[in-house]
Amino acid sequence: MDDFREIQKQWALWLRNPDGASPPANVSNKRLQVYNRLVRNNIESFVERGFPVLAEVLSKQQWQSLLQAFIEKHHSKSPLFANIGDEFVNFLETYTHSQASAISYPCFTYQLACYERMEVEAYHAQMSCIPPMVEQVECTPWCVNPSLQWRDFNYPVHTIQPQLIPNAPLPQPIFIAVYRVDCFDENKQFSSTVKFMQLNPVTMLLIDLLQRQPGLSITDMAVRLSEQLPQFSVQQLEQGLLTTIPDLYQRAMLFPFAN
Amino acid sequence: MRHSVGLGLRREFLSDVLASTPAVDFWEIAPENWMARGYEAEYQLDRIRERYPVSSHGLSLSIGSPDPLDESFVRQLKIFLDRFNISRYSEHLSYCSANGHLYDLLPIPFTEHAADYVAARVKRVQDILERPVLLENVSYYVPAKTEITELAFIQRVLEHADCQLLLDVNNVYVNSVNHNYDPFDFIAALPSQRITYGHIAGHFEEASDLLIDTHGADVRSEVYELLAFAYQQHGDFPVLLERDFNIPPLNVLLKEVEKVKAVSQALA
Ligand SMILES: [Fe+2]
Repeated sequence: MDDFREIQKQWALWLRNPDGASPPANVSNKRLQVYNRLVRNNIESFVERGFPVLAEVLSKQQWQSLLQAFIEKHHSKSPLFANIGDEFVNFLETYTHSQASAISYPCFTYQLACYERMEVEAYHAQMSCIPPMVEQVECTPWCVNPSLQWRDFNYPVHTIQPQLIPNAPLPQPIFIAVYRVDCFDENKQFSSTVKFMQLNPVTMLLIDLLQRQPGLSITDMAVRLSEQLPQFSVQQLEQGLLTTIPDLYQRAMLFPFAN
Repeated sequence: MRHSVGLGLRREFLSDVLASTPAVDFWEIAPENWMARGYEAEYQLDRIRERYPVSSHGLSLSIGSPDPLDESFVRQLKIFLDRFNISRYSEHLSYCSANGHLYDLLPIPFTEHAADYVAARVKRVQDILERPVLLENVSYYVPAKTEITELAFIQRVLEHADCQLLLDVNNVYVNSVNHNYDPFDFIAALPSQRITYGHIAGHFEEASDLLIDTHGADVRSEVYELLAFAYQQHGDFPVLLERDFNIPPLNVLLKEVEKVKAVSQALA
């Protein structure tokens, strides 16, 4: 290994863990501390902006130790600042479930972070999410809003706040969809809104089906869903979809499919 | 002679730019702040691009990193630069990752070996991007190693990579105070034919012997003097005003752009 790369690795080791690692040799400590401050402030400000609720519900000590552990133990691969939040979620997935930490974190930490990250990812979805017009609900082929993501949660992550902290998992998981709606306002300015929606299990099946197989009509969907929901007839499902689909379209969760 | 002066494009005043289309010669963006940022970002950048030339200034290439060059990122970068038809790509002569990203610019040890290592990586990036890479002299607060001088290090990288220099006069000033050298001598020794782009910015005085390159304040008169000196020594090159913190309203920044322009016009 080249000498200069050894020096760089020592710098990085120390920057990740200034209290534990030995500082690079023959370098003024006062000046090194400038780098320590810059690296930490930068990463912390990105994480804090991406996870405001988590930062608020954890104690100051929990939050600080989580940030320290992230900087020290996680080796971020993405060069994009927009992905630091994603790196943080990946880190939490294993870290909060491991015994690596002396401090314990609330059981919902990882899932709340996932939920907060879904909002950012909806904003970052590359496709335009302007709902197109629909003429006839019955014969239109459908697809899911391209920004829509959903996930099951064992905690009511959408209501967590300092006064409303769950201490046990829900008896049944809940499904939450997060998606973006775009429009041009009256001044022809582009604007985006991110929306959240808790979904019942049947709607969840429907969204999942359409994400895997875009372009199905209501009749197609009824046939496909009846395979998973044998307690309902195709006719019953089709009747139900005739009210559900326009509702989901109104909410801009479903778009007419165009290929 | 009309000197070209640009301004760093920030989301804080982006809508004002689109609404008022001020007379700015060009804008500079950090690709890392626009890649994978969603439809709105692309839409806005298209609108900017319809009206103005745009330069790019990367943040996360980590050209001096001990980690392998992230070639898939460089290829994404090429797609982005091609998509918005941006020909000027500059980066920091620095690194920001070692065993993973740290997201902040760190000083490469000044050794011949490190310079050659960086130069080889620059060539590889130029090959993938099919564009020249301009390297910027960076500010630093303590050198990691000084087997050779900072100046010799920069010269060696430029020569071996056969690439251009983005001369940041504020960084030269900050370093001259932090490391106690003469900024005029430093600038005079740089190779004129390689200087094709410049930066100017404000800094923060943390102590009389420690300046922090914050891009968060107005440009200091000493730094304007260095820019004038650089023009005398090396001839004309386009200059960009950087402002990344404590961002004032657009009209205030545009006045500062005019001040930068006045420096070059006074010499013409
Ligand atoms: Fe710069």
